[in-house]
Amino acid sequence: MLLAGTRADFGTVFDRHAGEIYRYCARRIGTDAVDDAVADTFVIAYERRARFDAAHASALPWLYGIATNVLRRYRAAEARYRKLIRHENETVAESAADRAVDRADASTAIRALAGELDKISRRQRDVLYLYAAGLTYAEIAVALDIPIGTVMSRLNRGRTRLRAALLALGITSTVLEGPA
Amino acid sequence: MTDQAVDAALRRYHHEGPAPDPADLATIRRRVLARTAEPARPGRRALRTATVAIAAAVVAAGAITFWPAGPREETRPAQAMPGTEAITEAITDADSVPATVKLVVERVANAQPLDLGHGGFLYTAERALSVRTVTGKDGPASYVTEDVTERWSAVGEGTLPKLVRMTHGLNAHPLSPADGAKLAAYGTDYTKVTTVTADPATNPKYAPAAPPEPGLANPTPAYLASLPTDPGRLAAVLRAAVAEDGPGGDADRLLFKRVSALATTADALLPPPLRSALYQVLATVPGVERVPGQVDLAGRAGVAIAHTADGKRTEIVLDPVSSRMLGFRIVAVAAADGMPAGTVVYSATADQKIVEKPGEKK
Repeated sequence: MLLAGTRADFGTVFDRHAGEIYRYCARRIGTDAVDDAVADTFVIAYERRARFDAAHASALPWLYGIATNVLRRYRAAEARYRKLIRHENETVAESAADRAVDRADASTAIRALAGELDKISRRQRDVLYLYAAGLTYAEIAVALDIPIGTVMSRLNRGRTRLRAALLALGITSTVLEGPA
Repeated sequence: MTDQAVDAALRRYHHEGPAPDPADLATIRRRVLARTAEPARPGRRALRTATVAIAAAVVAAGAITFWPAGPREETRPAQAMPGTEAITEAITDADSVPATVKLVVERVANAQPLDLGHGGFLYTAERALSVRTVTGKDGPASYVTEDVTERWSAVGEGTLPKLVRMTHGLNAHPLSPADGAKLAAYGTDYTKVTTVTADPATNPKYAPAAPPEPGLANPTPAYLASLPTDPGRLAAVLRAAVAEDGPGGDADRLLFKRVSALATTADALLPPPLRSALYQVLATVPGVERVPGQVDLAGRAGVAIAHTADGKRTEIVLDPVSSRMLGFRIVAVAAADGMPAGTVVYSATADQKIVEKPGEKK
């Protein structure tokens, strides 16, 4: 470990991870309040830097954890944004009648996911969003400060619900496994 | 439908979300740095550290996370000082060198001098990005390469290093695809990474012939304390040093270089009144200009004061939040060697801190 957490290092941490934290927050609450949420996340991280466990190889899961807590303050914005996604993707799906079928199906899938994510518990939702952002089970466990077994059981329950929702819309796995 | 299909749907859901614009991140970064700005307090070791940011142009794969580290540093009060952000914005928005320097100097005035009375070593970690050009039968071909230099010098004896470690050739890549094709045709191996350690303890050839004297080239805390803090008198000392270097060259440019050299090599050692005076000297150098808005130096936002000569613009980049030196960069003002105008041909950031022994980084 090179140094104790000072501001110069902090700039490095921001530059390395802010993009990912932004995408995570923006996916959950949209872009209206995302700047505030990301800024709050990093300010809190700076204030708590002494509590970061230096044994972890990367600060990223820890930052995701802070962001997840910050996002609790944006509950209303998050719910509004999911509604918007459902609506936007409906529009896209309708206007895309002439476009490739898989594109329309993917939009339907996004809409379905937004709808389903609205119905599940926040604790399950946290795990699913972090998993969608590309975190491993172990990283999600660090971020949310829960045992890895809990991560896996929440994820499995979430997957079951999402699968049912997607199947109900007749979405095939071929479409979903194609390139994003 | 398999788990993999559901996972793919989730990932797609994430990837189709909003992505940040670099400008969005820069704005957030400024806000965060302003909110976490803290004035140095008496007795606090407010040294900047040795970690340097990775240049935005060269994303270092697999870079080690340096931060956060152990609980050694005290935590700051929860809320930033009111008005800090406003001052930072005013510095960033200032449209002339005198206006910029005036605001930066006001900020320096609140800083506390460091406690350098306990000896130790000044550790400097510098990361420099440079464009190198090789010429072959199809003309010049350029690549970008990164060097990291770490130096340790005994605080009481000045800034000449006792131990140096250099790593060359990091993250090398062609400046453009056309350059890449030429470099391949020329057979230039520019991706080789080499490390050199210059340690007089193990190799006498690195030992200095005579103990270095304190001076502008080797500032000690005592020497820095002896320099005038009146900008006019400090400028006279620096101009005399330029004259001692002998005739030739543009005296104003050489003065600009002297100021940037001292501000860079002794950044962590500068007493606040001397730092203010140095910046004020900078404002008096004929031909200096303020680069409008903020500039990005290896991913860190700063304000730049520039001097242009011989087709190159040299920019000293200051951190508007801490008022410390972030580093400097050199920009080609005209197209040359196949590089377009505006190419950043060199940029360096350096951070300094006090450690106990040579080779230590914390």
